[in-house]
Amino acid sequence: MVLVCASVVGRANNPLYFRSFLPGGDAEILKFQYIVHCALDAVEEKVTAPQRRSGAAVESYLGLLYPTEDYRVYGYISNTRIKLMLIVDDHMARDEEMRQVFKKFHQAYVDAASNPFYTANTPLTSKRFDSTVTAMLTPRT
Amino acid sequence: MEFRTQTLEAISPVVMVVASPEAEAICQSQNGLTVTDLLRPYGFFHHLSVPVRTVGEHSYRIKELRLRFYEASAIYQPAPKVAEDHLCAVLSNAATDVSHAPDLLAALKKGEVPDALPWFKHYREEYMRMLRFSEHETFDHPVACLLVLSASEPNVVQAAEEMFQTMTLPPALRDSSSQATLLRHHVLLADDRPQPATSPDEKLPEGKLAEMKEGLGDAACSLVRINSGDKDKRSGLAGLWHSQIRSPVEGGGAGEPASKPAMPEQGYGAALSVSDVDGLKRSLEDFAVRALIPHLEMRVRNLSQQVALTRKGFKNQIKTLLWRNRSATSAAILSSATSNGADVPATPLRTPRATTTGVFSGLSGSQAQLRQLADTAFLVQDFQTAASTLRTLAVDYRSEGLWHSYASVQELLGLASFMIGASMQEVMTHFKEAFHRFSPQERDPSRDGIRYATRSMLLLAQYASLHGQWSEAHQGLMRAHLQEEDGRAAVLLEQAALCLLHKQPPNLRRFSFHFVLAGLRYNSCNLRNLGRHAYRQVVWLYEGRHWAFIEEHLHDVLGKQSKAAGDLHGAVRHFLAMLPCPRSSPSWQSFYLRQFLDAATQLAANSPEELGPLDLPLPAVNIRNPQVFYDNQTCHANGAARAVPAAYWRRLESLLLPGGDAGQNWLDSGSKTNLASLHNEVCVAGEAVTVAVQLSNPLGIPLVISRLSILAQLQQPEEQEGADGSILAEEVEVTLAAGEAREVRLQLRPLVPGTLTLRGITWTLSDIARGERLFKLKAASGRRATRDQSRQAKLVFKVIPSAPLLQVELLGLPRTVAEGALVEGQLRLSSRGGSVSGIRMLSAEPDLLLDPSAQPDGVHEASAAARDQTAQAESTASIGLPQANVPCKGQAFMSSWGPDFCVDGQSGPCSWPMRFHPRQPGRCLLHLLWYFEPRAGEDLRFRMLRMVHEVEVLPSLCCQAQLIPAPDDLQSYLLRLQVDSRQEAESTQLEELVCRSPGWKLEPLASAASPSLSDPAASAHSPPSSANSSTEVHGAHSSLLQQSPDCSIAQLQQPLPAKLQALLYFRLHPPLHPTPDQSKPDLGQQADAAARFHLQGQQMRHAKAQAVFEKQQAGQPKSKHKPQQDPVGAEQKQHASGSTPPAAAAAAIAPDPSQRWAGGAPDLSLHWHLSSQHLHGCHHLYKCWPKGEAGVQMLLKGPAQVQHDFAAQPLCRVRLQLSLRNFLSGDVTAEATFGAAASDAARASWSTPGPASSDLPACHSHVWSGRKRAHIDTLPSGAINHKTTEVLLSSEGMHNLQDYQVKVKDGLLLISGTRGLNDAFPDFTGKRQQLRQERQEFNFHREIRLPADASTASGHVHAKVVEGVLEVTVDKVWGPQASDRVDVQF
Repeated sequence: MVLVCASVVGRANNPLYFRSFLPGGDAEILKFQYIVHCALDAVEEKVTAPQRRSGAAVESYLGLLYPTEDYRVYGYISNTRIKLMLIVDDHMARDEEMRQVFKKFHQAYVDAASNPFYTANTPLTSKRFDSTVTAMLTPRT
Repeated sequence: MEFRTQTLEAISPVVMVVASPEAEAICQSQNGLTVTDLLRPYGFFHHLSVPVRTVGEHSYRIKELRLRFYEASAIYQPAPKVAEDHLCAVLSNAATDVSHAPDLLAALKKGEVPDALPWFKHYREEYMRMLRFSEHETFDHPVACLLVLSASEPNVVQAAEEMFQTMTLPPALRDSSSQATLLRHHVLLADDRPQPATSPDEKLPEGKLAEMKEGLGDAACSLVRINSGDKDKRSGLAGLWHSQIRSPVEGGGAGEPASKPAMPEQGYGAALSVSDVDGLKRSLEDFAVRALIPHLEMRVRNLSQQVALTRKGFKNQIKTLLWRNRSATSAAILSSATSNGADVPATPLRTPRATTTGVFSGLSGSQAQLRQLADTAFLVQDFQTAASTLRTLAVDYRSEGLWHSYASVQELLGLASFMIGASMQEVMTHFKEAFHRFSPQERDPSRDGIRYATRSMLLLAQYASLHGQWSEAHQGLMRAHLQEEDGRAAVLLEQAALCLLHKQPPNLRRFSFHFVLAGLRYNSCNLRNLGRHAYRQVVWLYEGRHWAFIEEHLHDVLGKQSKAAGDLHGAVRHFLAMLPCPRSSPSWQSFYLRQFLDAATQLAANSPEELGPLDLPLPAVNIRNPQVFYDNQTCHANGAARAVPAAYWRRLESLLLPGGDAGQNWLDSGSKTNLASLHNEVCVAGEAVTVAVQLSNPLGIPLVISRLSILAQLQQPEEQEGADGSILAEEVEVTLAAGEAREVRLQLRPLVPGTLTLRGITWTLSDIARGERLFKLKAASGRRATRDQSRQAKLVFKVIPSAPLLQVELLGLPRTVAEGALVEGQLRLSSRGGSVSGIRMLSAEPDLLLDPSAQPDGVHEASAAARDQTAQAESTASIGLPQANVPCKGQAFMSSWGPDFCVDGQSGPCSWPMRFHPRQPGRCLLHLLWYFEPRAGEDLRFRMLRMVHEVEVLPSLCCQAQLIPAPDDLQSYLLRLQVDSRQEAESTQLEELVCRSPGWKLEPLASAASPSLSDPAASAHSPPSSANSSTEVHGAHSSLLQQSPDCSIAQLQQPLPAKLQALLYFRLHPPLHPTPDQSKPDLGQQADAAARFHLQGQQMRHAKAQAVFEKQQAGQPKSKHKPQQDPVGAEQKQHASGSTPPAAAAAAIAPDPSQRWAGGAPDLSLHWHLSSQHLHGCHHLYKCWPKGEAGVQMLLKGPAQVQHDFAAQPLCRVRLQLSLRNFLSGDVTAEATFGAAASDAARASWSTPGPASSDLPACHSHVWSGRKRAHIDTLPSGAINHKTTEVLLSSEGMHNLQDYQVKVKDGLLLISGTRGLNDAFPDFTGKRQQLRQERQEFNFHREIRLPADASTASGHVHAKVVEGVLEVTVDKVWGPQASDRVDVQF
């Protein structure tokens, strides 16, 4: 599994954190932004669909959201409607593995958002969060 | 339109039209239509009921039928490249004007979503048309031939035969077998126009028809009359043909000839009458019902029979199997055969096939029969037969691997399945299978099938969308677009995106992404208008949602395209949106800014009116919270005055306003003068309204902002409307550095009365782009909303007519001044806009005083007008300051000019002398409040002017005075004055010390010429080392003394270098007699400025101490157990403890009702001079209380050194005088004991140390002479009592007289002690309660060495009881140690 992009999207579907792990510069980020933005539709569908059916609680891990030709987008939603998204360059990613990765990602976000100097729903500029995410998501060789 | 209708329209019998030139001429000349076009609208029959029986036992009825009419020469498929060019032209035409495209944002807001974009429908039709007439799809092959002849033809039968023989057959019919199946029908076209001259032998059309029927058969001929209508009158039928006429493809084909007649001015079909149309319609219906349907019915039967013959039965199956094997290597038509168009050879190619993929099979053989059967059955609406035949055929093709033919069959099978009511899943599966098989495979990378594959998906999308399956439609279109060229891919993407909007919930983000992709594809094939349209439709979805990269990308593309297309306005708008890009590098930011400015410059050059004020994001403006400053009844002289909280000013105003003290609310104050102050939104015409706006530069490059001003609107009253230039807005230039945020203050002057509305601000960026932002005050919800509405109203002002304004200048006040300096300055008063009078000034600080004695400059001239108006005989005295520096509440001082004093703007300013005397170092803010009454204008009866002047006060000197009881005199005191210079470099000239308390006399001890100087840092906690020497204190006699009844002055005239300390000693004689109680001196009576400030300080201290005392009294009215604490005691204690600063401590002291000094403690002033600055100054020392003052003071006086000749006289008699003075408030009794009794008591508690060092041996051989005990029955408060005794000395040496004891009894308290010379009893006034319980006697002993010059040794004792421990601190005024500390437990 190769993670190529990680992002945190706020309640108003505004990007709070966006990090590309590919050396493509702005062009890559633009592409990933489009992909993540599109995947928000899938998040909405997944979040609203179960409620329509049975009123059951939505699981945090949303699974595969938006497959493109090259990448697959996986999603995770917190109780505060913060969306965590990962773009994976691997069509063989397993759900259990992704679930674990998202839990770590979520923990890192919770740590960063617990900073008393952080205002909720504003861009995450914490260097510590960035380094945590980078360390967690960078493919191990 | 339903999918069924569309299907029936798309797959309907094709009729080939062959018209003679004469017939064409009849039709075209009058109607602008070809014969084919003429027939097309009438090829739809919807009220039929024709029974048909094809292959089954049961018949069915055809209720509606469509016929497709094509010219024989145009029935072929154009070459792929020609078709592509035609489709590109279709898109290009759509791109020329996209203004009619729907605005999706508006549609979505209304809840409506268009199913397709306007150009898509046309493009789809044209796309389908380009794929018609393929070789393998026989439903597009003509089933009938319509020969149209003119009725004017002399021999119609022969002409018909010739036409049939010579006509150009379409490629699909060049096979003789196909030709044979063609139904032939003849139409005689009669021109019903009135003929100019008809030859008598010419037959009527009916005759020709009869002739034709006779020769060609009755059913195969019909007569059609046209042109019976009036060409000049519009028939109203023109609209029938507009939807039927297609634009021709280059070179012809796809059902249309290469060229067509242009539309006549009268419109199509102008010469047709209703009867013509009815006749035409009837003829075609007859043809369809009587000829065509039976023909097709028969054809299906024949084909079915042939198929049965060739395929049914075991024998045929074996044959088929064999045939299949053979055909695997036999000829087949390559897919390229379909692309040859007009050049297709007359007979199908049968060339060997190397592979079995990617080709269409030929039309011969059993499979061709099957296909023909299926297509014909479809045409005759026998869908069951068609579907079953197609399924059989599909199996055949699949087994043979003829995938394109198989895919074509699947496509038609999908349609047939739909027509027979199969499930949606089955229908879509057929389409998907067709797409899959048409798509290029890995083994066959040729792209021939892509067009058909896309057609399959278009059919699928249409079917799915018409049945609400938007996801399927979206997926199909997305799959199709992947392998298509850019233009078509873009169209498919747009259509796929629209499908997403129909989903629930609408996938807006994916929709927008598809549109962005479509825009990219359009741009790739140079359809930039369509690309721009695609971007524009979705850019709103990203704006303001912080997806910065996406926004930047869209605006960048849109801006560049708009600029390239000449839409400079759009370019400016999009480049503008790219400007706030803080995450970009400064170089990019600079590029974006330049790009925007270039576009704006071009737009301004081309059409300046279009470049209106823009909503520029640079700089960032805080429009939610503008601060507005304005003057109405309350004016501000400078910005510092505005910075002071309004509550502070209001407190001062209450002191100055006439009824300010009386009323606490608006009802009490109740005059209409305050009405203006109730309406804060009033401003005065001609006076500035200042708006402070926060600007910030989010970029990393500097921004140049010019012509920055307020955007305002002044609505004048109706009678004054029309005046121009009613607002004068100041324009400023600002350059904001990278990342800088700054508050900018902008001024605006309404010149005439009216209603002023501040709308926003406007500016010019880099001298090119004009921007404006309107204020939008922060809105709040709930209960705060009302308050915010009133905040919004703060931007609206009522402008009242202009009123005179007082202008005040403080001249001569330096920005920096030394502490204690006496600065002379001038107060300059002037007015603007008229004359003002009734001027009053309130100074909140005591540091600024007006000089009442001086005559102001210019006052005569200024008030001349007033005098002339009032009374000529008025004295000049009343024009001055009747009241100057009158103390008010707090530390404020008020000065008021006379009611007739008037400052006129025309006669120039007038000045008043003033003095400034700062007494505290630090930042000194002078708050001045002015009251004045304009003499013109009815709206404002009075106005208040607030001004603040800031002066930085540097520390100069630090003076500390210490008063010590004189060791040799119970009535005088020693004054120890410690002066620390805090000047950095300059030496201060100490000029004189003035004691300003009446009756006190100042007498210098130390030489003023040589005060002891030391570094204060080194000797902060110890007296100067030179103080060991008593010569300092008792130095040479002083300089000149000036004694006066009011003050006593000691001249010093001594420089004090910077950062050094001086110790000055003086003797102070308190007044012998109580000075008469003087009335309070007035500040105005003091001629000297220093004396005036000194007196002012006294008054302030007095007032403050009185306030504190009253407060204490008010706070503790019923405290019985707490001893009464008189102000003097409090003053003494505070002074002695040193815990509070001298000024503060002194300020807290109550008025001095001391029994000791009737005039209170002495006040001193130290005058100094700074020569470099020509600056005089003085420091004030108030209420110098003696440190550690004793309650009862005693002094044993005698010669310190006695010379005696013991040889001559064995005993030396020394006379001593014991003096006691009572400083307590009550009477005391005292008893002095000399000799052994006292010495025992002393020894009991004290071990007497010997003398520390002496030239003479210690000796104890002395005897007291006379009475051993002396009683003083009553020692009144403040009185002195002397007792004389003698001591006899029998040997030489140092005699330590320690064996005497004085007991003092104060009421119940008995205090006794053996004292050294001039030791004093502590004052236990404050501790009486504790001591009364203890009732202890205590003795203490103090040895003091008698120095050579005697009579000056002095000790000082402080005693206090702390939790049962009497703490005695012995403090020497001089000596090797600063103090000795002894603790006594009792």
